[in-house]
Amino acid sequence: MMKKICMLGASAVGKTSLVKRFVEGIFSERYLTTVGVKIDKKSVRVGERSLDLVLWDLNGEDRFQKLSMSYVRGAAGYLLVVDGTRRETLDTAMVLHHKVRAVLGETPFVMVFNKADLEEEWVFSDEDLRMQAARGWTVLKTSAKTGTGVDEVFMQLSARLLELE
Amino acid sequence: MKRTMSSARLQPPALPQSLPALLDVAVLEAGNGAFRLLGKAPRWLRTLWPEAAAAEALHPESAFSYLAYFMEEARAVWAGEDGEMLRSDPWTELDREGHEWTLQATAMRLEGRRLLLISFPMTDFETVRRLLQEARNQGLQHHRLLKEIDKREVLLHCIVHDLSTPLAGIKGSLTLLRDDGQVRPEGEGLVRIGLNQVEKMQRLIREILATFSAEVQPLLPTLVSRDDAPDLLRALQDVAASMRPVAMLKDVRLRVAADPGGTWKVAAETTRLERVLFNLVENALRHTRPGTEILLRLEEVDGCVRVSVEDEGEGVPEELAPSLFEKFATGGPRPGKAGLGLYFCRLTVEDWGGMIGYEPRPEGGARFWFRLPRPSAGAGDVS
Repeated sequence: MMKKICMLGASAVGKTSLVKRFVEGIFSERYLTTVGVKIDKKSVRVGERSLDLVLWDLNGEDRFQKLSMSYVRGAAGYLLVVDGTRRETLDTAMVLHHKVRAVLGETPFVMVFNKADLEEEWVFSDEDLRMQAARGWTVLKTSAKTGTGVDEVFMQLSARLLELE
Repeated sequence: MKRTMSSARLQPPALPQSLPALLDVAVLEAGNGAFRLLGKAPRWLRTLWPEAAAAEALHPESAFSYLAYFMEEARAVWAGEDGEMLRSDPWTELDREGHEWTLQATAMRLEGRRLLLISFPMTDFETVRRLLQEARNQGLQHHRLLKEIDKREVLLHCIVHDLSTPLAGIKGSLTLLRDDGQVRPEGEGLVRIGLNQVEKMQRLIREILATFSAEVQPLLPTLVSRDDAPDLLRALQDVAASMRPVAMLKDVRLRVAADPGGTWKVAAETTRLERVLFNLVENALRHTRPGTEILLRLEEVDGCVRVSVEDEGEGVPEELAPSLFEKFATGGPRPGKAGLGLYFCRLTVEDWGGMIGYEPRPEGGARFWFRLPRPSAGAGDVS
């Protein structure tokens, strides 16, 4: 079974790094911006069932590039990625979430606070994260650099997609 | 016959089969439910989609997921007029060895034929990417610098507040000593020197604040465990005790009202919590009238702890109330006040997941309040 997953968020929040960590198990400090779409695939097993994830790593939204909402068409789920060291990236994620919902309707997603390794620069309190989770959302902390929480994010979303089958 | 000859003359020679490969373009033509490759496959296509060179019926959308999206848009072009064309954004595919290939697709209708061209980006993709990269790097760098500046601003602000509050206490105590005649004549000179020095320091603080009154960003987060959480009643009592000399000088009573049996632990950090309380009490002292009382009330509201600081002054003019907690909101020209105190309170309280506000007291005067969540058992455990 094949499912399209979109990576959404402001630029430089670590969408590409999360995909790279999940698919290839590696991380690079070198930041290379994504232009347009980068597509990757990974098969996962959830219990007895398997799922082929097609990961659409979309360009980050900022003043230089807007995200074309037509890219999210057909997505079964998405990750809303926030940079834990930049508060404004949460605003961008919220805006994108509303835009995506307008296109896809109620669709499974996970909100990801990435860069958990940068503790010194972290700007969100646990209360901030709890406030997001209080909406009934799945909210997870990740570090693409150390790998913390990365598999869990994709596995939780995959499990949710299979539940809906 | 003549027409046939004429047609023969106009018919262009067939394009060489190797031309698409030489131009690095894969040219596919849509048939009934599948595509077929026209001409020789370029080398990159053979790497990314080896089956394309051999198979008769091709489904490019299964080889390149992006095309499933693009072909939905392309259908309108293929169903339209001759000469219509649609170009996709660049997208990036990975080959089996993990190398990235950035491609671009073009859908066109030509002489009734429905064509799909896949090639490397027509625009100078690398130049665009380099420019974007540079712009975003600079944006990140700018953000880091702003953050550094903010940290310094907040640090400075905290130092200034830490200095000004005890200074006000020292000044109050010295003034009481001087005015109550408790100092022997030979000591009066020393008290006067002390007061002069305090005033000098207060002027210096005002100058520092005026110089550095720039943007202040939210403070860094504080993770508080239940054991380390400060007791708000205790903090309030400490602050009230240290502000009493100043209050006495102004002939103002400070009263703390709270259920002594209550639990008043909050998700906060003691030093900054006391600074918030100092700011609110100091603000009330500045605006209340002599002979009145400032009530510091603690209560439980919706599972949170709420503090209110109530004075019997003139209250806040209605037009100023909405911007009270904005930075540099001084509510009018007040020498020595930079308008950062309440702003600092808001940033701090919100940083802890609380709320802060102002409301006029029905019986006259001002009520500033803030509420803080209680420390939860799982503090620090959010995953």
